[in-house]
Amino acid sequence: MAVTTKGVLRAIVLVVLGAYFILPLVAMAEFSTRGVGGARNFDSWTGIFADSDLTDSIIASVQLAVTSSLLMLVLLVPTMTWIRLRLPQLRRLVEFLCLLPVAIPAIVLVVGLAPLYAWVNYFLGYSSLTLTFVYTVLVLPFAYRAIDAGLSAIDLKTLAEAARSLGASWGTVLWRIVVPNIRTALLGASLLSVALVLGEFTIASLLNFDTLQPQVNLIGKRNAGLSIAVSLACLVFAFVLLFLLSYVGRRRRVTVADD
Amino acid sequence: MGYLELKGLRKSFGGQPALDGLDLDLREGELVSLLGPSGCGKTTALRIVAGFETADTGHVVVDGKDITSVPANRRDMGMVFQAYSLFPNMTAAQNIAFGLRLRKTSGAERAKRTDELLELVGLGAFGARYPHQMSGGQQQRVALARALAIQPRVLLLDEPLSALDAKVRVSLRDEIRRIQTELGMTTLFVTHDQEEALAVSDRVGVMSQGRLEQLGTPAVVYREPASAFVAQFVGVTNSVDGTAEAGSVRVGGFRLASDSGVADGGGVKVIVRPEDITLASHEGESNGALVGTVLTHSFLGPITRLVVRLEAGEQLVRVDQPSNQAADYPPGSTVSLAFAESRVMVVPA
Repeated sequence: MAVTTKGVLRAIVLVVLGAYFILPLVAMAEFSTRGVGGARNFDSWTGIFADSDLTDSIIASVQLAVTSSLLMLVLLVPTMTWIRLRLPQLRRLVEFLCLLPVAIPAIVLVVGLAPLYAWVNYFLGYSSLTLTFVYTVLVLPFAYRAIDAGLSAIDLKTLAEAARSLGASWGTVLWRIVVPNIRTALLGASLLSVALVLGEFTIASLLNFDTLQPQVNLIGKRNAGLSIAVSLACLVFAFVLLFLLSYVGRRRRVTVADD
Repeated sequence: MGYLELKGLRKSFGGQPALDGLDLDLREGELVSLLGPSGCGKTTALRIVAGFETADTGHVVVDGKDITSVPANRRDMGMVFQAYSLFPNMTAAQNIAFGLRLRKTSGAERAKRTDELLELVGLGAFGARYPHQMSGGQQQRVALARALAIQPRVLLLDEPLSALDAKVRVSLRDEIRRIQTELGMTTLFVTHDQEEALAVSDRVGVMSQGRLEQLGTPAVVYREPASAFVAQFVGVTNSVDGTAEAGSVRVGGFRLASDSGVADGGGVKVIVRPEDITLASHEGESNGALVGTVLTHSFLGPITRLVVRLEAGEQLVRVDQPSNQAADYPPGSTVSLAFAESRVMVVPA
């Protein structure tokens, strides 16, 4: 009886939560396929590829997602590894610094960044790719947590010392030992970064860069169906990424007992 | 001159000395164990030899060459760690080949050497397995093979058996000794397990508070301990309170010939091993004998350990008897004890 009650409660929770998440998506799908006179069509969806400004902004955002993720990995992985191995007393400070961006409102960041970006644009030219620098900072809190969990899951010190004793340079330790063994964490950090960059609006908009979200906002003012279709596509893309992440992270390892 | 020399090594952590002028020489092909309690500095010494720690002062010399400032990855030291240290992303064979790959050994030579080493450690069929598919004992065997693959100048073993269960520990211990002897590998073995150290070593160095208390063959360290610490740390000992008295020591009514160097009337500790005490049944007055009552028996296979409470001072003494004779002294019986005087150590209390 108790099992049945528990099962019913579980079903209710699942239905309510499922509805909470799915209903807006269904509504977006419905709205983006709504035609004149109640007919259904995919004009808004096909329009995604017909709007060159939109495709340019999608390309720019995808490029930003890739460059920001790469720069984040290049900065964080060696730094966090080195701090764990050689400078553990700095760990709290670095953690604080990495988590700081999440506590600062985007608008405050922009106020500080605007003069800086005047110089960035002057030296590097006006390109949305220069947002890589600020996006790398923005993704630090999420990426730090993911990579930190990965590094905590392995006996980094012993593995690094074992590799060193066998003749490995620090670069080899990082590339051949650390990176493959925290692969899932790196993937997680990268996917979080991609999701964050693809969804970022405030900074790009206030710094006048035509990335995906400002473009969606702009399109929304003249073609609501198209903007909703793009937003839904982005959400689905993010869900697929998260699903892949959870699938990859599900690998379990079994240790064999001593005989 | 030794093959591996540790000269005056000193190391402090946060003002706390871990090594206090350690000197140690290993001959080529010799296995020396560093034995001591936690915090005695044995692992620090090993890590300095490996290049993972830097000594505050002192030198590490291998084959006449000072390697004190050589980084760990250029020292050619094979090391097996206490924790499982196989690279989880590589198979057993890939782990073994890792050092060879870094040395740019050809693929064929690498494969041949890997197979040989897998056979050497008795895991010929396990080359394709990942660490998580192997038991702890198998992983440590692979770790040993990996350390040997680079043909190290010195093999360093940092308590490699401590994470294993008792049966596997003994079998792997014997295997390490067999392989070390077969290859003639100079080996420094750190352990806190005295049985392990005595069983596999050519010489044992007993450490305390960052210093080497004694270095000698297992038999010498066990039979002729250089200090009370060594006597008490290595093997099982009894420490019985006594009094110095004109070239002898008195324990209760029993007199033991020994020049303790302590002034008459001064307190001493008589240190004696359980197997160096003989028992006899006793009835009536003590008449100058050391008399006690058997309290318990602990069966340990070939021997049985009896706990005897001395009449003098109510002290407890452990006495080993061949198991087939232990029944002669059942719990509650009164016995007289005799110490083998040549085996007794007397130190100031």
